[in-house]
Amino acid sequence: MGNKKSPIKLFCAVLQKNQIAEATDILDRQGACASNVLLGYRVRPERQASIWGIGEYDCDVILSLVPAQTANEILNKFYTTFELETKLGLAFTIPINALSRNTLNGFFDMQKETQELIKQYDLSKTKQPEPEGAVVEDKKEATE
Amino acid sequence: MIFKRDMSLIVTVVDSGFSTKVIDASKLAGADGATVLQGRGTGIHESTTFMGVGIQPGKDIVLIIVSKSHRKNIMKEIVRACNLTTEGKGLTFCVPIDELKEKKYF
Repeated sequence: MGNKKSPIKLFCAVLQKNQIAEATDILDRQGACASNVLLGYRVRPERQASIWGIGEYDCDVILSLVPAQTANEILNKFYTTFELETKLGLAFTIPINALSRNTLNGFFDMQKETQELIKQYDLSKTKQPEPEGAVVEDKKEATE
Repeated sequence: MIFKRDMSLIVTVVDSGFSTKVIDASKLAGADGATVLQGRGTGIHESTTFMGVGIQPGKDIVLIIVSKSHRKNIMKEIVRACNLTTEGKGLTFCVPIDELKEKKYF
């Protein structure tokens, strides 16, 4: 599972206050689930600002699970909607190795192929799916 | 602006109030900004009681996005500044970032 491309990604965005409603709207429309909003504060990169204690401002951090196919689209949407090029804020995605069953249920309205991929990430399964090569060999032995 | 596979997210969990130490150390090692979240510790080293009432000290969670080339130095500097080799002081770890969008980075 180490090098396999993750079908679900953790989307994280650090936005200014009062932008959360719009952000959750975008995420809902793009098929994201399990969105959580955290309150935090951001420290500006400029060193002088932090010395005088004025370099901190309140921000909202939104964490959400998004399908890998739409991750780039969501990032682009955030980039344009919240004007991340000119205003403060950032957004990024992190690959995920495994998920709990309840969380996976949120993605079940997606395409069949994606569902199959997602099921491989189900933590409730005790036995990992065998690679395709191994299955073919077993079939050969059975026919012989 | 998209950066792929050359960025990492350093997550550091320290006692409340120590986030400034983490940020200062990371800046010295070449990091830019940071985002701080408030949390609550429930680890075995943090559980204390006062007059029979359990106390769970507050925690600061510091998120710093860095390039992979700076990652090791920054983490080393954070560990040194916050003395994270001592039990119960906190922890730091790093996760890869797939894609990132920000106004300006590096």
